[in-house]
Amino acid sequence: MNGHIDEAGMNDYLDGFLEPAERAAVDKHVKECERCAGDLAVLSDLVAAIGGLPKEAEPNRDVWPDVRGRIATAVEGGKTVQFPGTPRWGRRGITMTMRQLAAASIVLAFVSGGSVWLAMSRTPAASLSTQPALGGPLPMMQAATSQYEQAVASLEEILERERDILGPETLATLETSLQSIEDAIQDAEDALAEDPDSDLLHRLLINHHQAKLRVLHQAAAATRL
Amino acid sequence: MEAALLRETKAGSESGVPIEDLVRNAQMGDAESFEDVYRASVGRIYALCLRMSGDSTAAEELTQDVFVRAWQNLGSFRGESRFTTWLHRLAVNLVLQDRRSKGRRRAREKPVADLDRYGRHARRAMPGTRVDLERAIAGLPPKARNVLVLRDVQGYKYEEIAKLTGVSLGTIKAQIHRARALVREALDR
Repeated sequence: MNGHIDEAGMNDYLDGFLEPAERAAVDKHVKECERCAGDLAVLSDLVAAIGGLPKEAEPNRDVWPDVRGRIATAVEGGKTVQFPGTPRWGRRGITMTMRQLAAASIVLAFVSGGSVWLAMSRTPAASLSTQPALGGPLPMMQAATSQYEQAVASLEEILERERDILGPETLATLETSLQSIEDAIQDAEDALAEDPDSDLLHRLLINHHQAKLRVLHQAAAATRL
Repeated sequence: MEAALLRETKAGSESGVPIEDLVRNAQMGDAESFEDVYRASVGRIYALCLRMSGDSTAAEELTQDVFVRAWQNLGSFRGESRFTTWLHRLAVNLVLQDRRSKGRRRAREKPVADLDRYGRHARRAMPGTRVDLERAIAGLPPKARNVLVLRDVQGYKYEEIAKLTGVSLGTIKAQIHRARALVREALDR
């Protein structure tokens, strides 16, 4: 080794970046050079001292209430913040019989039919009418929407109550599927806010709602197997 | 890095339940278990945020952000690494992201406005720590401080730091060498 060890060389030595031959050269040099031996010892002590600093610190105040508050606020705030760890179905369940599950299937079919009604209502001929006929597509869709929401709520309550029956992988897949669908619903709703007359977006939204109901229905049925 | 975290994790949570079990409960929506996770981890996360930000108020806000983000992302934790490693990495990313989002204006600011105040807080928050060393680290320029904390305090490998910061390995090495030299100078003053 010619001359003294530079700073980069000392750091590389301490951090283990040198090849064995280079390392041996440094070892040999510091045995003979008091100055480099001193500098290396200072740097080594410094790195050791920094590494020995406490790894934990106590905040001035407990920040958990703030964390808890922010989590709760975000949950109440709606869909903008997602909490995969939180069941999206309610904790208190009601008993749903197989007959009710069957009823949910009927709603599914009904909503599916509703998409046809909606598509029909959006045809140029239908849009000429300013007031939907009594008993026509709009009341039908409102009824379907109401039944859809009830069916979703009931199915979610079943899943919350019976979630332990489903395996963790199934549960994870279910949550992922529902999350994707809910994201798609949100996207469609956002797009509809921009373009409320889009037939395509209306149909897309209904398709997403159907998919959600279908997944919930299948999962609730699986808990009964 | 792993070894250091493992030692800390062995201590477990205050409730005596292994942290991995608490995490599993929290993933199922159990907020009480998540609070236990917080209690078991907050000291390490706050220390990291404090040293990287050099400011106790900012560190508290960042600590909050870390745990809110952890709760949001619990579903993505699959147990492929230790939870403490996952949480720590999330915290590092968040602190670095926060710094980037503050933009160039803040980057030009003096790293820590009041080192005396910081030193007093460090003494209170970390009893037994070397306050002179804490002040010297806090007095570093932000980028140098971040890499020094990650490397020499937290034990991250150079390659990991390069990946986390998106900076080349050579630049990280140069920053760490410079940071050590600056700390040494500050201690000699």
